[in-house]
Amino acid sequence: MASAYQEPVAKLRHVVAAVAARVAPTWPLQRSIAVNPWWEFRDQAIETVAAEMQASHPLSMLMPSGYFKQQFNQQKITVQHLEAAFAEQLPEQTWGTDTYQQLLDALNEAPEFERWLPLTDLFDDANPRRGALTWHDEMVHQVSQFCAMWCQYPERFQREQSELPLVEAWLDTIVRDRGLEIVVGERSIRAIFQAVPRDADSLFNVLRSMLPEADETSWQRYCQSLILDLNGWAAAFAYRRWQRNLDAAEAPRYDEVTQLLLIRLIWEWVLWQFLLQREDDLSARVREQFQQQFAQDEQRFAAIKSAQQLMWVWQRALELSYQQPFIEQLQALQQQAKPSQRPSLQAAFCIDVRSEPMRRALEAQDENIQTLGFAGFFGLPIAVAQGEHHERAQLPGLLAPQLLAKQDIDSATFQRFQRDVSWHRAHDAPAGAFGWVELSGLAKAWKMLLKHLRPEGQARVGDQILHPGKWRLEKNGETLNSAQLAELAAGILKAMGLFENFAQAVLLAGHGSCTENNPHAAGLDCGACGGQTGSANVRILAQLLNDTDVRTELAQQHGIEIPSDTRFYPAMHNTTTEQLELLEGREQAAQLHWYPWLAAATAAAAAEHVERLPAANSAADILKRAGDWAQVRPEWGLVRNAGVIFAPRQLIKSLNLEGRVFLHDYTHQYDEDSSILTLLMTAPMVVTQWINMQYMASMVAPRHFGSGNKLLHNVVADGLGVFEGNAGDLRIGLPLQSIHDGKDWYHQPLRLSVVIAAPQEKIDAIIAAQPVVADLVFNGWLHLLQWNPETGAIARRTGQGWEPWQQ
Amino acid sequence: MSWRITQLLLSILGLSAVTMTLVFTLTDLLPSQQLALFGFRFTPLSTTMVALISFIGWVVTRYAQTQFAESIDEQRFRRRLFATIAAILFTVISDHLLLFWLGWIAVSSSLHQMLVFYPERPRAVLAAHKKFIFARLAETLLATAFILFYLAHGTASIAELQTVTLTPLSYTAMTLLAIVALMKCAQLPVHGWLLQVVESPTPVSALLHAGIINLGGYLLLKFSPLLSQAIVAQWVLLVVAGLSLLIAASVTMTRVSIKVRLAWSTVAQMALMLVEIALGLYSIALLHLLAHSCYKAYAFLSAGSVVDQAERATLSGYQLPSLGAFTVAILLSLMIAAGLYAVGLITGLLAPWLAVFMALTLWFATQCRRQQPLLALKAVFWGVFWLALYKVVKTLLGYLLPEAQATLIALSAADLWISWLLLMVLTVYLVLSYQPYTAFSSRLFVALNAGFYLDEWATRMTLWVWPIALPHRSTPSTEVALHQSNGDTPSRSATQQGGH
Repeated sequence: MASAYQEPVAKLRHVVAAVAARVAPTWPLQRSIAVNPWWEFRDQAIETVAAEMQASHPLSMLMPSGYFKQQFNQQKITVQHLEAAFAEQLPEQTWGTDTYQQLLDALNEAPEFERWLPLTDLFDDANPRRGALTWHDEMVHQVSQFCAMWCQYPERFQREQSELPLVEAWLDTIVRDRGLEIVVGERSIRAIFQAVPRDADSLFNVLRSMLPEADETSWQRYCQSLILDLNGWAAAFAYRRWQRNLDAAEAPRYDEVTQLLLIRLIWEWVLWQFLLQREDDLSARVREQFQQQFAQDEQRFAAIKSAQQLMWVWQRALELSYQQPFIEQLQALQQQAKPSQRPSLQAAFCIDVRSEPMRRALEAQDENIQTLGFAGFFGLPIAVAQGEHHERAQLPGLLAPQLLAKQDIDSATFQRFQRDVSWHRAHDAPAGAFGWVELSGLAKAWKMLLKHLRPEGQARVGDQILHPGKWRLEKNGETLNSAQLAELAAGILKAMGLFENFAQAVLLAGHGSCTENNPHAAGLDCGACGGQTGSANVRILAQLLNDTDVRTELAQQHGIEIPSDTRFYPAMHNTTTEQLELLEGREQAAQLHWYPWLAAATAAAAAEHVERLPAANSAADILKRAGDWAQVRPEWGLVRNAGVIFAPRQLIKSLNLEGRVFLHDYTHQYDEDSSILTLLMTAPMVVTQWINMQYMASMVAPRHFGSGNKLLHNVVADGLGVFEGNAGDLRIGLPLQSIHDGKDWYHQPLRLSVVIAAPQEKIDAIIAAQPVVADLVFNGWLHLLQWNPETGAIARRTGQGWEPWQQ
Repeated sequence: MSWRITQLLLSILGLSAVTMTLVFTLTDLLPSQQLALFGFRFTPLSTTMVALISFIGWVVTRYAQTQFAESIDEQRFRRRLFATIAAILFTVISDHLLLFWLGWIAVSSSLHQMLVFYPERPRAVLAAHKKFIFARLAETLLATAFILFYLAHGTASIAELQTVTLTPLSYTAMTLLAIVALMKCAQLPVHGWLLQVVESPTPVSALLHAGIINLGGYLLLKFSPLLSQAIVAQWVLLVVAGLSLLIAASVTMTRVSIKVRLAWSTVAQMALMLVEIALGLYSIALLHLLAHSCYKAYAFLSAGSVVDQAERATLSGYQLPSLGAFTVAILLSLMIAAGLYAVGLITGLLAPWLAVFMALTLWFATQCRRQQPLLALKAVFWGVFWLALYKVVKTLLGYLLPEAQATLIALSAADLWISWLLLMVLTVYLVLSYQPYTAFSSRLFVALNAGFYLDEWATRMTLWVWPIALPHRSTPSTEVALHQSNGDTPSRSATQQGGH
């Protein structure tokens, strides 16, 4: 008996851990970067994951049929697209005369998907209490408020050597919480909470008691539906797990995500006990319904999956409506001879889609200008330390910083910060607020006037304190010497493809946004720099490459000769105002022949930018928006992103890609051992896929992976995230206003089209060696296309191999 | 009316109101310092209020214009916002009791429309519902009070009422007015709705916290000569607002989201304003009302920058001042206080000075660092400068609104009660900040975080008295708006999203 009992407990333990492990992280607002919320599901086909999601929650990975209908009526999706998509999605079926009608019918008859209903929801449905909030809402509210306290006031919850610190602290709070029993009007609830065991073993035993014998998948889907109720907090805790893994720190047996799921399970169990105690028909019915779901689980899942098949055809058709003209553009390109003369100016930009219009604008100034696309952290694996208390990672979230970058602190700015902060704290504290309110009220009246009469965009806090002074790079507390610095520089230059034919001036252009009163500001900055602007990285790299000792080492040890008249300039592409400016060395550069090109490029790029923004008519409008504290769309960010190209810029220079494509320079002839391509396919490709999926998820599942209406945003725990309104779950993902123009969707939910100009064997070798890449490609998380610039041929990689593109 | 025309009107109105206030105060142009027209009356107090509302209205409409630009909700929001601002202005200049009462109703019903701007949000609906019931109750009490005033003194003009001596009937009415003011200012235990209405767009919160919530204080200031005669009304205010002050101020230390914390802070600040009124410090109360409005409007409208502030705090390595620094700060404050008292600059009640010196002490504490004595010296200099400024502004406002000399007795029971409450606020602050680990501190924290469950009781009572149907499961507003924009009905798309 004992062993039969033990076994399901072990199973529950396993299921809980597995479900918790699938939660993708969300970075806090100060360093927010894009994340694919289904990252940990990448080992499954996207269609399967979509069905899983739909089976566990009101969460669809596909747009509602009304959207596709609109696209079809506007003739963005055509019958040809549908036919091609059908052949691809359902290869075992043939396109018949009635298929077209079937597809249209699929849009008209909205299927009613049955999904997992936890006890809270079942009880709400069975027992609608007039004039009261639902159990479901109360549960979310209570757990969410607690999690926020846990994160903002960690000192309140110090606990010695507890296995389940989060669960215990939560139990302590809820057994003291009289509010709950008052609101739900059930006195017995608190007693049940008091009876919950505190140690993990007994807890799993108790929780298991409400679950019927069933296979693991049904338990797993049940737990999946539970964790999705608190999806925002789960992601916030998953971030802590992610950072711990990057730091290679020891993982606790039950991490916070697991404990959150346990909390959610305890809520279910409490309700289960409550229903047992009620002993009436209604509670018996609810309990029966609950347990029956486990038996029906597989059937329900299969029904959803088959019902969604046709909708995937629509999704694929939508993607083809973008891909076809995009690929035709590539195929039609004429071969360009590589210019041999020295470029008049070189400028390296981030791969960000917003760089593309700016690069076009700059290249238009002179035919000898060469621009390059590279990840915006410029390959520097750094964290920047400012002052004694502050360190921020300036590299992609996938990587852990290897070096610490320091410069002497700008003491005037630092003291201004200190003054601001202490003044703010003194008048913000309750004991000070009463006395200070008169004075600060009058000051605030003045500030409000200024905000309207003279709007000014603010640089990010960390950037305000940067200056042109000397940087030191440290590894494990030791400063790097010239040889080490040269090694770092050589690696970066080789990866950039910039190791010969240097121009006199090489711009290293990071990018950043400039907004006011915007909690999601980091999301507009450089994702490759960890949600910061690229300012520190370009300043450091320029300093490094201008250093004579480093240059000597580069020439002697690494065979990279930088001409003595070449100078590297750190520059900033402000994506909100579309300005391209030098960060340092402006006085010297002002005399040089290329300097006026920057202003001209700025004007051209701004003119293009104005056309995309709603309610903007001139470049002056863009500037005003950047400083407007009420502005909910200061810029469009990476909206409408759809593709990434790894190819030499020279080949695609003539294309207008409308700011929708990430561009990374790659010349396979320089990459014999495929080391660079491996890097590209495991880092920039993954990062762009995260960005692409973040936008898609925020649009298809706005409730779970979009943070909702900016007008209601309410920042939680000093920037951990936002609530939409008063409470509810922590909201993650993009705000609605970032993808919607107020009247209609601005974004298009398309999976990323990855175009690589490299031989197929090279790509295949990497797919074989890198499971992450294989998962993304074979499971439909992106479209991988190989481009042969010489023949113009395009081939698409799927699980079946390479297929030539014909449509 | 378009945004621009409204903004223009508001700025003209605001500037004229400022001019009128100055003219009234500084000249003897109109000996009675007022201008009456058809039941409306411009007095220094009402024109000051008009100036404030116009300014806040101007800021909020400009803000909302940007936020709603190109949105399908724009027109709906614009109409509701303009109606609310107009209703406030109407109320503020009303002199006839009936007009004032009608205006009062118009304010809360137009506000209600803004609070349920997203009617699909259950918490918004619940909060607005609670507010709806309290508002109707307050209006009934207000009507009763006004009828009693009319019966007692035979006049419906507030200006004329200001000169009467209270009879038992109007004494009761004054007590009712105090209760109305407490309800309007969201004092405990009817404060809950104010915290929950951050479910509506940010400009609504700004207008509510800067221009509507303080009408309770404005009402009492209008009736201040009568309040000075009504001890019971004063003590109702002192007790209820006093306790609200202590609790709400302490709760702000335990909240997790910026807007809810700001809402609690409003409850506390309104409590202080009402307490000042009860103590007879009318000019300070008016100063407080004006300043707090600007302070809170700014705080809500710039709530998004809290992320930056937190970043700045980490970067500058802010730490709680040590207890040693705190002791030095207290000594410095005491020395300044003693000095100013000696030269006769500190006079009158203890409580307002206590509030000011507590604030100074807190700031001094952040400026007392071991290696930087100069910093503390600088702080002392600015502290004294500020005190002088405070005194000047207060004296100037005294011309607008004379204080109630009769009740201003230093160290009276009322004065001591409020001073004690202020000291308790400081104590709670110190306990929570400096002793986070003790069991007492933890229990206090949890109870404060929950607002002593007062609102839960109020909610339950409300729903018992008048149940409503709430939107069943929370559907974010956005989703509904979005699917409408896709030409789908919300219910249809709900099923497509897989709802049941």
